[in-house]
Formats: sequence, C-alpha cells, structure tokens
Amino acid sequence: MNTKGHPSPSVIAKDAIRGIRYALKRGAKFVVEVGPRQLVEQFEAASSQLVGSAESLANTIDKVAQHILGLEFDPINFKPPAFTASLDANAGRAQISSDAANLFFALSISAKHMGINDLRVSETLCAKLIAEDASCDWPTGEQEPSFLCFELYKRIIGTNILGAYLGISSQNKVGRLEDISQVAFATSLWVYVERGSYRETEEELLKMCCDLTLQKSLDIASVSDNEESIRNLFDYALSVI
Amino acid sequence: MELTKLSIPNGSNVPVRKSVRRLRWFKATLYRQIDALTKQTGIKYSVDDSKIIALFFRWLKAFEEQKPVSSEDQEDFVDFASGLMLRELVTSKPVSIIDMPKDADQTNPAFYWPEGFLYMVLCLNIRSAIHEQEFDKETQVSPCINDLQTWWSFKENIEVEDSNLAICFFDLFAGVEPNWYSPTFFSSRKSGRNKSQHLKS
Repeated sequence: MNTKGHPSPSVIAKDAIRGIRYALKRGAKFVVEVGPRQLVEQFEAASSQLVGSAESLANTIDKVAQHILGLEFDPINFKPPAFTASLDANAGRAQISSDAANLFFALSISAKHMGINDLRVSETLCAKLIAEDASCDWPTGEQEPSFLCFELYKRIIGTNILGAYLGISSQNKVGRLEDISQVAFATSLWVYVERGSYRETEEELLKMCCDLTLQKSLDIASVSDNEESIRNLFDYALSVI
Repeated sequence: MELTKLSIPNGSNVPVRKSVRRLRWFKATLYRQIDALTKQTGIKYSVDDSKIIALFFRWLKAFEEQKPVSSEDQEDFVDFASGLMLRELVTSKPVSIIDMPKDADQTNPAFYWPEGFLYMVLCLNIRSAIHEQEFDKETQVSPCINDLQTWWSFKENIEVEDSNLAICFFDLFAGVEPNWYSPTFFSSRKSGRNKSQHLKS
C-alpha cells in the first residue's frame, strides 16, 4: 500500500477541529448579530450565557488543539512546499506533512489577506495533493515557472482544497468561485516566484502575491477557464513581483 | 546639498529598466535611498509598506498603459515614467519623518520638505541608472534642485493644485523641458512642450 497517498490521522484531526472551531465561532457570532433582540429576561440571560460558553469553548479548543496538533502558524519555518518525492517512506511522510502544513497556511493567509474570511481550507486535501504531486516525479527543473504555477493553480481548484464549511452553503456561487481562483492564483504564484535577490520574509512575499492578484482580479475572473491566458497572467505576475 | 548617488540593487543581473518593474526591486531601492539620505542628513524615516505596494502597482499600470512602441521614444519615456513614479509617491505619501536633526537648516530643500526630497532623489537616481545603462549617457540635474523657491512651488502645486504636476516638476529638476499642458499623457509630451516654447518666445 502506498502510505504516501494517505494523509496522517493528525492532519485529518486538525481539519475536523478547525471545522468545529469555525462552526462554534460562527454560531456564537450569529446569535449575537441576528438573534431576537426582544427576549424575556430569563431567555436573554440564557442566550448571553450560550454565546459566552460557545466563545469560551472555541477558545479552549484553539488552545488544546494548538498544543497537541501544532495548529499555530510558525513564520520561521514557513516556506513553499518542496514537492519532492522521497524513497524513504518515513522521510517522505514527514516531508508531505510539512509541505501540506505550509500549503495550508499559505492558502489561509492568502484568503485572509484578500478579505475572504469564510473559506474552508482543507489540510487533508493539501496533503493529498502534495502526495500525488510527489509521486508524479516531475522534471520540475525543466519546466517554465508559469507552467508549474498553472498546474498547481489548476490542482488546488480541482481537488476542492478550498470550499465552504460543512453545512454552510455560499449564497453567491459565482463570487465564491472567483474567491477560490484568486486564493489559488496568489498561492501558486508565491510557490514558484523567484527567490534569493531580496530580503522579504515568506509571509511578506505571499502578501505581495496577494496584492498583485487583487490588482489583476478582473483579468483572472475573465480568463479562469483559458489555460493560455492564465499562463500569460502567471508569466506577467512572475516578472513583476 | 549634493544628490546621494544610489547603489542600485542587483536584481539577478537584469537591466535596471526591467528591474524597476519588479515590486521587490522597487521596495529595496527605496529602502536603500532612505538609508543613504539618513546617513547624509540625519533624518530618520518610517515606511508604510502597504502604501508602497499599492502605489507601485498603480505606477506599473500607468507605465504599461503608455509604454511606447517606437525605440525613438524610449529615452524620453524613461523621464516620463520617472515622473509618473514621483506622482504616485507624492500622492501616496508612504514615508513619514520620525526624527529630524535639531539644527536642521530649513532653507535646505532636504530639510524643508524631507519626504518630497527623498521621493525626488529616488526617482532621479533610478532615471540616471537607466540612462547610464541603456543610452550610455550621464545625466545632470538642474541647478534649481537647490532652489528653495522652486521646492516651495513644487510642494504647493502638488498639494493644493494638482498632483499630476509632479511629472512636470520632475522634468524641471531633471533638466528636461516640462509639458505643463497635459503632463499625464506621454503622447502629447512633444506638442505640449512646443506650446510652452511658443509662449516663451
């Protein structure tokens, strides 16, 4: 059995915890913002207590999960996924896990920086994509960066790494697809942009890629299903970051 | 005050005319210019990186929209594009002063309007590097770079009248005939200059 293709249980657990945390916080926010304003006194008190408990529970989940599973973002070790296969199964699994976490955080930071706050990013599917990619054994050195950007962009979208949280449907499906395209574009650009001559941190570089993506958001939306046009946009973006 | 000659960052051995279209190169060059001016004047600056990013992309858009096809126009376009960059800098104000020397001479343009001076010197230095590399030409600046009256007029005009006039003041300081009539259009630079000369004669 190819163990590389299967995300570790801890990655799946992280995604589950993130889903619960999101649902709890969203639920609490919903009660506060759109709950009935005129409740009888006893229910008002119960409602406030519920909100307080939900927020407190979400915070507790955060702390425990961060401690046990390492949910926290680590700016020092943050770097683009290496996408390299390893013959050693254990080393391969560790590499996939670290690449998946980096891809997950890159997608999450991109979404947040571009003001998209309700997008679910799946670390499990990041791990799946990385594992499949590693098993491809691409001659990456021979490929144009814009080709590699496009391939990653296409696969981020195709593997549903980005989507809605379970039980929460987006009211604006076109807008949601555009959000997904933008986050995938910015992150793919960051992965393959040239490094070495400048002093930005990886997080700063990623945010620059997001800012450029926002500048070109109309172009990205208008050509999202045209490979050549998207590759041209990546070519352009790689040359100006 | 003498203009500080800037050591331009080496963007992977790419010519400056191309590097200048890279956000990271532009940011690194701005920081180098700040360091050089701080050494020269003692003024300490703070920088808002988010403003740099936004203004850079606005400048790039304006640059790409007007980039000429003909090689004959390229030299003049370098001056025009530098003026466009100055316009974005004075409009966005990405740099603030956090400390000024106590004995600063306010009649010196570098102390009279430190941010404006920094932006102007940066754009002049980038222009100079491109002229040197592409056209094998050493550029000179106009003597009015030291004239406080001209700086006062520059500041007043772009703050009160029209920030597009930064393009004209860039030309003025660079020793190039400005087009005061329609400064934002590269295509009308020649005809605008002719109008200015016609009025002078």
